[in-house]
Amino acid sequence: MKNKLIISLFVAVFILGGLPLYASHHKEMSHKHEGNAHAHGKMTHKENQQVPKNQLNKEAPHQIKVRVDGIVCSFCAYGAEKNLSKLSFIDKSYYGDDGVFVDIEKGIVTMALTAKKKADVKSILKALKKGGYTPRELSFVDHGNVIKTIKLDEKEIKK
Amino acid sequence: MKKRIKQYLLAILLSPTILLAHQPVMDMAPRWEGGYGFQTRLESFSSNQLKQGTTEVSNPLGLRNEKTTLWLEGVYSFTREHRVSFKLPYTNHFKRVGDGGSTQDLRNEGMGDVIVGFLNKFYVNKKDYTGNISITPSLRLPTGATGGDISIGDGVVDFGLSVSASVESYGFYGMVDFFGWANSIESDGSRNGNSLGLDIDMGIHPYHDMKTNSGVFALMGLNSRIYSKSLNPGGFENQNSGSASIEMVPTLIWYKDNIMVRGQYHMPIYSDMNGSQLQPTSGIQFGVGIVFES
Repeated sequence: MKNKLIISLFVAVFILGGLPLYASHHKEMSHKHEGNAHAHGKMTHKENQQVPKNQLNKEAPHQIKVRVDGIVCSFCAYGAEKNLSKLSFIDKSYYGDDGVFVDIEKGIVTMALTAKKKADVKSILKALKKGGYTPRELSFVDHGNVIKTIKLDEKEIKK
Repeated sequence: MKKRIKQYLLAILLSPTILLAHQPVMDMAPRWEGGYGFQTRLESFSSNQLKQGTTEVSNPLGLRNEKTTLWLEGVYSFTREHRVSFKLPYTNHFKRVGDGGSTQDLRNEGMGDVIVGFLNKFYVNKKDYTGNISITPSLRLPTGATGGDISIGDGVVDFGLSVSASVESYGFYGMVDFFGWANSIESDGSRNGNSLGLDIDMGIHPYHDMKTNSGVFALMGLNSRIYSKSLNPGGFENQNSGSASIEMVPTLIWYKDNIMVRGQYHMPIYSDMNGSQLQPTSGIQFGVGIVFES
């Protein structure tokens, strides 16, 4: 019977854990394949659409940085990060595959912005609050320079 | 001697089930509206040391109690403050009991009683930490089988209440959970002992990789339990039941994005048993949890 339980657990592990891990690995491999195709002078489907390849380590030229109270654990911030990445003005070609980088040590959430659409601050604040956190300060960054900072008062936070 | 062995038998048959406090997937996440998560946990506990009070006594008949349970758990967050959770056990239970100098092996397996919890959390978010106080009433519903050599479920609705507080910073995690279960009287007049528990977990967050959203938590828990005496069929108090115990629980948690894997070792450090009973001995737990956004 113990064997049955152990087998059941492993099945559950594969279903609950294995598939998402496989999906993320598959995604990474796709990016690598795109890189290889580029090196060999071939055009990938993504390049045809003129979407830049994923830029894991590069700073996005247009960003919004939000200082957020309570964001100290990435497992806990998963929902907020995914809600932010769904916003239409987020450039998903940065910071992995969602355009959002959460620095839990400094409590700062950075979002890469597309040049084509205007960022909607209200929807950013809403996504963070629905995610269980308290946004405190918002900065617009253009090519590494902070061009505007908004400190949020209690009224705006509670809205 | 025969009387004592019968007492052993009753003590083992009515030994209370392991109490469960909160688990990280329920506490730390999902804290977002519409979030949900699942967790499976395999736990295995065994006892073969007989005790009278705090003194270990000989166990010539080799009486023992082994229980392996696979838990399927789930949680849904309506809002950050209000969640509902369930914990459904599938149990394999083995007992060697003694009567008149001979032993008998009893075994049963099946679905146990499901626990439904209604979590109410009050959060505070500060620059360097987040914390919450939780009040969680729970119901244990009679979904488990009551027949067979050993009852997997108790056939009645039991009531639980937990009051907990947790705080977490980038490098630290701490939680205190005080909880209790009031068990209802079964149709034959018997009742499992009511219980109180206090779990304290403190730990560090020694590693986190920002780029891959993965890392490790290392926790040390101190779990204490007090069980009142149970009632035998007919409503008579069982003198070989009820206990107080403390165990240390080192825990290691690995996470990546929305997946969390945890391993625990339960190490008893103190137990005081009423009458003669098998004392709780070491156990292991292994679990995998996953959370989703809505």
